[in-house]
Amino acid sequence: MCEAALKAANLTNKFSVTQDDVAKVFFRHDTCHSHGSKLPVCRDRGTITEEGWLWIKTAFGEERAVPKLSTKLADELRRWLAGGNSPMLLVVAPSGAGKSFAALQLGTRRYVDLLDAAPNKVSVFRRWKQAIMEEHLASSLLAPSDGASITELHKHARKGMYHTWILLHVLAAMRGQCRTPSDWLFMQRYRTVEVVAGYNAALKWLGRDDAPHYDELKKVRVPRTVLVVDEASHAQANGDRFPCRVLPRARFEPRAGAGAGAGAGAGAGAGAENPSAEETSQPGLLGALLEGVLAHRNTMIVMGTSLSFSQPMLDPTFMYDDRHSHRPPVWFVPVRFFPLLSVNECVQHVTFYAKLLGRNLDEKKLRGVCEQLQGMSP
Amino acid sequence: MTATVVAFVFAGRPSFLHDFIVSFVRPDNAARSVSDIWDHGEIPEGDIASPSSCGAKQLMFNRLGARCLTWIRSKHVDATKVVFFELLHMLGVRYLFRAPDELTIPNAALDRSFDFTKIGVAYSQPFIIARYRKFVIREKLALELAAYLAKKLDPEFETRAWQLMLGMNVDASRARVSEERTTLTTLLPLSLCSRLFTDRCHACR
Repeated sequence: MCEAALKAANLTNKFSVTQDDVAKVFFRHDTCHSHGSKLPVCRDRGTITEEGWLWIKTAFGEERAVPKLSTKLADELRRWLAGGNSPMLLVVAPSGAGKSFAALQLGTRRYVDLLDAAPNKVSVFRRWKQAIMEEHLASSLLAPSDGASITELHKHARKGMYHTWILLHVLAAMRGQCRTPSDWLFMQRYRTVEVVAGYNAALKWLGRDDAPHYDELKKVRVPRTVLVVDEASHAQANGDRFPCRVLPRARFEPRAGAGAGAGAGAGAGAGAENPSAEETSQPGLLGALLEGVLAHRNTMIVMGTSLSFSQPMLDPTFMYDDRHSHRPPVWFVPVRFFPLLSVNECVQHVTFYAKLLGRNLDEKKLRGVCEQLQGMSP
Repeated sequence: MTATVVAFVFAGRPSFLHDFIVSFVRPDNAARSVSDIWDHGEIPEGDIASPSSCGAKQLMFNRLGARCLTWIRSKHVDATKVVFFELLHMLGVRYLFRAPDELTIPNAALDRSFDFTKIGVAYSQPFIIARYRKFVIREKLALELAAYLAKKLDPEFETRAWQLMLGMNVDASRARVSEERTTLTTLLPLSLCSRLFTDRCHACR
């Protein structure tokens, strides 16, 4: 299955981002907004994008100057991951607070699987959602091996987990072909069509007779990963609520320390195994994704502009494992970790661009603008 | 104390600066002054025909305003409009007077119309166990945005109060006045600050 995915994604050989790749995506000569390829420009909108600075060294080595970009939130994400205190981190802040950019910064330092739930664009998330919501999966793949009967909700839960595991395996295979975290990030961001094609090939493979049964798949450990779901509120948009049952508390296991490595996969899908388990609420697609991720003790960062998407997961019956109640499985990024730029930082930033474009600015006037920019009317 | 004041007064989220840079590097803005690039013209209604017809700030407010209205309309905010405005106003007052605590709202209310993070105005600090969430405005520009959204949603609602609040926000951004404000808020409890503010509102009606 993974071989088929790699072939479809043109990833049969190891992938590294080249200078040419970066130049084509960000530093094009054919748009006046790039000012002769001095500035990174967004391919779709034709406007400047700070994301391009993340690959500037790949394209031009050390010779190009780079504006100072705050890494405050990205650093916090890294600290949280290193701490291993909880399997899920919620990052909730208003639009423009730097959430997505921090995830990208994180992705340049360590391997991160990105799922963008924003609607109306080609994405792996959209394809995963379509597979769960609209496509048939043979009942024989999901039915319990011991022949026990299960409810429709249990079937949904197992289908959600099944597709999540398939997705994670496919992403892991593709990730494995990328030499560095930045290469994998570039692949996901700018070769989305190839990544989706790879995932499509894997989904097609599920129609074969030798597609893995749920119980088989459950035993195959998904390689360690950090899954970032951006624009998560769209995963819970109206009408998209996925009617699967919430798995009981016991699935939350410590990620580090005693027992973390032992019996890998033993608890995977424990709730889905037990038809008599209480059906507590309906967490929707995001919950289904989380179930699949947590079943193999992986980690998920969920980002959005509203906490409403995570409301079902904030239900204590969903959240807490009594045996580890001192460790909440959901963690939030406190407000103080989101970057706020001072006037000085603003002045430095604008001056950087002015120098790059050869524009002279009166520092006093610029400072005045930066004060206005932070909210003062003239 | 002074350093804290400056950090509090002058702070903006990354997208504020990004939006300015997008306009700043546009070739057709090369001859404009930086203040003009940031702020000129009216906030456009609906789709923008030409980005150069207004400043980066106006473009940003247009974008955030459209997003806010879309969300609010999907939440049938009409039923809770007055409460919505009161809470938004209270958020602004708390920012203006550096209230020690954030505005706390039950999670249950968020599915309706009180998600001030969703509309781009405030940051939120969840309080899971108590099922509450705390909101806080962190940027002066967000206060202006809140005033704009309030006016856009209902031009009649508390316009003078918002104008006064924005006026005080302008003053507070100048170092000398902000020091006065710090002294004021250090010495007076929030309730008294709000009272003073309300009195001034009534006085200017």
